[in-house]
Amino acid sequence: MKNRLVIYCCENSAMKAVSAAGALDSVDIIKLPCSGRVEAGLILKSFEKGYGGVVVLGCPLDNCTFIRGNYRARKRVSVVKKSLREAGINENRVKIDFVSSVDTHKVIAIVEEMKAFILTRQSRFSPLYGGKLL
Amino acid sequence: MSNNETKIGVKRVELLQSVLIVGGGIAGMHAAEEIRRCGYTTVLIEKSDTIGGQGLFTERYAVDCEKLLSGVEVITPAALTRLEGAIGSFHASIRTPEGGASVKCGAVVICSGAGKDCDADIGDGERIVPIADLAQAFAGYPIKIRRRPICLILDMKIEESAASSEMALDIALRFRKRYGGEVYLFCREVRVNAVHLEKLYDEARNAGVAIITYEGEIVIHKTENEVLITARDALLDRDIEVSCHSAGISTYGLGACIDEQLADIAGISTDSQHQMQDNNAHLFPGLTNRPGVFVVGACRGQHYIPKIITDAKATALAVHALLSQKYIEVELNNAVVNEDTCALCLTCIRTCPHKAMTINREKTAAVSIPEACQKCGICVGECPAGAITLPAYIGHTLQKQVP
Repeated sequence: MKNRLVIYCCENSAMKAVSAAGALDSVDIIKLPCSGRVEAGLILKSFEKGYGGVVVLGCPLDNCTFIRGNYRARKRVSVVKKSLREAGINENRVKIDFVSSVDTHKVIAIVEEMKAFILTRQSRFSPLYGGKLL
Repeated sequence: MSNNETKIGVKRVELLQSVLIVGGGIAGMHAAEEIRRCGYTTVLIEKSDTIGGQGLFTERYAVDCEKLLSGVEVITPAALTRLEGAIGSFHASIRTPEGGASVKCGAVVICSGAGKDCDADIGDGERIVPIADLAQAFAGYPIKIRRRPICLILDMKIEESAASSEMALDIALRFRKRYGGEVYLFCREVRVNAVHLEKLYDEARNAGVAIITYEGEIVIHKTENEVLITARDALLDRDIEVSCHSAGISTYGLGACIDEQLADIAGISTDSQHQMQDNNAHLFPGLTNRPGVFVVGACRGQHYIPKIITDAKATALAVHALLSQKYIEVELNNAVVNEDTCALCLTCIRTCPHKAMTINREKTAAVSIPEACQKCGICVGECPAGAITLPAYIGHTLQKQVP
């Protein structure tokens, strides 16, 4: 579980790219109507449930179907980063990126990068797992 | 709880067969004419006393305003003070010198133009002036000075439109023919993608106007009896310096020209260049973030008049395509606000990109308008009280998906 990722996808772009990538190893995918739908609570809840990292994928900037959704999501992720920092968790455990529906290679690169980061030493010191080394 | 089992209601929204046009410039007049010809009640409001706008000053595109606007109800001077409601039944409040008036309409077309105040503080008012004022400044000089070179500078801040190229080429040609002095035209790109522009460009070149495409910054330095212009020539790939008597600067790309207040009232978002219409790939020309509100002309950055006219007619047809349906059917799976938990903090009203949130004054809570709501869920994510839910994506089912 602690090496698992959760991806919140906008169904208009990122969802298509993610489903084209096929079965991604140790990744859970959640479909949203727009990346602007993610709540700070939803992301924090994922950490509470034990996920090692959260990725939010939205449409490219200035290309959101709902005009400002991805900007709002970016703002909300930065808020989550701040609260993670205050809680002593590495803020890079949550990440937002903007992909189009054909950016499957980019999605795979993001997922691999995130997985590699979760396994690195700097991310291991965390109150998430009782402050112990994993 | 699966959403597939619940039946979604459908609401029938009648579309009022009338259109409000804000702004009586070239764009407004052509849009009004086309919409009236499609058979809709058309009301045009203009904030100044006279109809015509900037088009009054261009001889090439002069039109007969009276003929164009026959059958259109024209209210001048009038300003839009409020725009409530949503697609199909807008309720616009208008302020006139006699008092207020209100118009009910199915769609709104905004053609407010670029405004003219933005070129007030450019140059020194003497030898570095807005291009349009160059002729006036030159008329006062003795003949000897009139033969000295002049420079016209376009695209100083952003890439401008074909309109600025047209005006600059027109003025350059006129100067060259009348006074015979050297004329330099600095631009980032020569925009001649229209029939008569190509001809104008050829004419200017044959008359001896020097057209220089530059890149990077352009520096204007004024000394006692000359103006020095330094720029990097894109073709020669080296710095060049031109000395001239006076310089004209294009005002198309400088500063925020549009009426930000009007954009606020109409609920339209503006882009980084302060033009009405967001910079977004999903917004086709004329469409805005608020369904049922359209923008045409200089307020969305199009200054070239033939293109404005085409845009106005195309938008009129878009309005026709919308209103000729008589009614639209919307699914009632829009955002639902819990009246007990809503604290009326107005966050949803502020963040909704489609202006689909209003206040329900009886229940003192926010409420979403089904015909305007696009079911994106931005308000759900923003609501600090967690009072809003989207029936298709309920929060706790999302969390259940997380195993």
